Amino acid sequence: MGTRGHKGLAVGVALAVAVGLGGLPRSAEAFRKVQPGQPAPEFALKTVDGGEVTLSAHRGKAVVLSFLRQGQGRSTKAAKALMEVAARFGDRVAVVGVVVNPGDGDAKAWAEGLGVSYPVALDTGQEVYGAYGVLVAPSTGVIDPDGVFVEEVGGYTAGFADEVRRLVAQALGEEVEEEPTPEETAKPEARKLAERHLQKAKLLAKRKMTEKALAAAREAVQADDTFGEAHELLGLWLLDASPDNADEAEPHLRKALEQNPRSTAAKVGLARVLGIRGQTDEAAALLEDAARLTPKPERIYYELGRIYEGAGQYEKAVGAYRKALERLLR
Amino acid sequence: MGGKRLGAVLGLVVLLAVAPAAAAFKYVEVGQKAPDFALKTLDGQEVRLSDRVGPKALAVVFWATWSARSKPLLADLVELYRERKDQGFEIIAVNVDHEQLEGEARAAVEAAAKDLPFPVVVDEGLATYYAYGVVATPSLALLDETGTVRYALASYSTAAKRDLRDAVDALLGIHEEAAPRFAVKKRDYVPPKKATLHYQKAQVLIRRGMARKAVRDLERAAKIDPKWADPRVLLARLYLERAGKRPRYLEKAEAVLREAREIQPRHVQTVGLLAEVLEARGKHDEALAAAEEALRIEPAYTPALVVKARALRSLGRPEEAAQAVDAALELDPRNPRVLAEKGEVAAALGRWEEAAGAFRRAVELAWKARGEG
Repeated sequence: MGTRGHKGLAVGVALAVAVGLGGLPRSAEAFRKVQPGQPAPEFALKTVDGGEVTLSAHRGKAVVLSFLRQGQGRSTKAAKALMEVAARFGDRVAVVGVVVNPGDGDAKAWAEGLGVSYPVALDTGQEVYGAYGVLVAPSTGVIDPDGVFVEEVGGYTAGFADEVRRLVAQALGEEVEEEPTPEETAKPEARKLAERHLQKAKLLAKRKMTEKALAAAREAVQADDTFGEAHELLGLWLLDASPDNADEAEPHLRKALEQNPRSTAAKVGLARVLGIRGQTDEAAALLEDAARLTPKPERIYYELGRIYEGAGQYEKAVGAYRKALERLLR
Repeated sequence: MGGKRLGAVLGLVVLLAVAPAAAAFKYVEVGQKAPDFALKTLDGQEVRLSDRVGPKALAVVFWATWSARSKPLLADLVELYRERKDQGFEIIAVNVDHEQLEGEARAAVEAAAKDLPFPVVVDEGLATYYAYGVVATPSLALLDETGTVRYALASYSTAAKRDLRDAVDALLGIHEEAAPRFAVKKRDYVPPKKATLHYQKAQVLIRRGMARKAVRDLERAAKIDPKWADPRVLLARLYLERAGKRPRYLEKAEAVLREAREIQPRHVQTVGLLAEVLEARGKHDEALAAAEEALRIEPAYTPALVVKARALRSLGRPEEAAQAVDAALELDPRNPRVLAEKGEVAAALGRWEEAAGAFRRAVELAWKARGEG
């Protein structure tokens, strides 16, 4: 059918991003209405302690704007991680938390429970949320001292604070290579090395230099075999490069799942392996399971359709594609 | 989440709803400035629309080698260009064959463009195609010396040949008698200020993703001014978006669209949308009639062809549905809704393999369109 294993690494990355995989450089969908290089929309919001916070008041500083959902674990973690960013850059940065669901409970109590020192604002009418086109919480954007949107970080993952720190440094025009923070020094040497390899691999993948990206990702997992994210990307990229790589991809995807049993991307990858081997039913079961666990199952239904289509079960393929389309075309 | 998606969709819909009859583009209407673009010619030279604006008439034509009607349009444009060049007629041909033009596809475009006496640019990634919202290939926008679209053409037919020539001549000041048909129509209806304010507020709310609040303002604008179609059409779109959860919104959408059609009967989007609502309400016969009415106004209006196919399928006439959807596919092969309907028609005919292929393509295109939109 000539469409499987087709479009190089871009699809793998897009897929991984869409299903909420950890640690990717950015989620292209975190802010739908703001692009890097564009002016960030102005806002004025009340804070939980009765003050007001605006974007323009922070001209001259880098601004970290983080959309948080009260009561959500990942938002809590992101909010706390941003304390570290605030401490690191002092008065060169203004961190602003925005609660996107102030009506879902006592937002003031939740914000106070975070124990953060930066302002936490309430987006009561979800106006700022709408203006930035935020899709999921947490979503964090970095704005430079001139009010220009620099980049976004979707979700919360282990590398979240590092990523935001790097973007703030970029926004301030400071050296991106930074002195290691206590967290980094505490990390085993092996993981640090592996992270460097993976960083390089992602850059190469972005430039569609498939073979080199694969080599760098292999070095990452060699340096640290417990690095789930590297296993996951390596597995997905191998599959994107060619279905013939299914055997090599499988152990990496399984290791990724061991490290992060909830990873939808790894499940999708594993299902593709099973599909390639003709184990259609097992693949389908895995995907149906993954679809239940994600709020955006379109990609998963799409993969399910691909697997049925590849197995010649066209009627079932139609059913799966329809489910994806229902959500995409409403 | 639904509200956000709705907002994103409606950001574009706002433009759509106020567009007059010419429907070659979803996001560019007659009377508007044409969006600028900078694209490279086949030999790598950049052509920027804003640099080229200035002759009395400038045609921007979207074409592809896979589109059967592109060839006669380009041939007639060459003829017209040779005759009218010296009087101030210029052309930019925008190739929309593929997202990435490489290898054999590129060679085919180069061969087709070889003898064209005007610049041919390649729409890399189809960004311009999506930005204009081309609904049919070929399509043409004719700009006056200020860069304002004065005439738009979707697809191409023998009748269109005469229209195109008249429109060009009208802009060039030749054959004055042809001019009135193609003069820029000023909006002849001026609604009361209070209604306008509500309408504008609604547009702002929609852009900010607050479609729910916009409904109230549109309802007010419609109530204040019973002779104004625009708020009714926009309102119908909002109702239709919400109808997934509450079917009674379909009834409301039908009612406001019928009012809008009374006010401006030859507005293709209004009639096309009415067909869509009727089909969603299960009134397949009426939907079919409305779709055909829309197609009489604009035969290349693909959304109406899709509704026509859907209605025919619902009426148990899948062979005729296949004809309608294939016509839509020829005009707009990258529209996910067209591909989805193609899949449904193939499924209705029991051609499951073909159906699966069409649906897969529909999903892939829906993602692409989202990325752009």
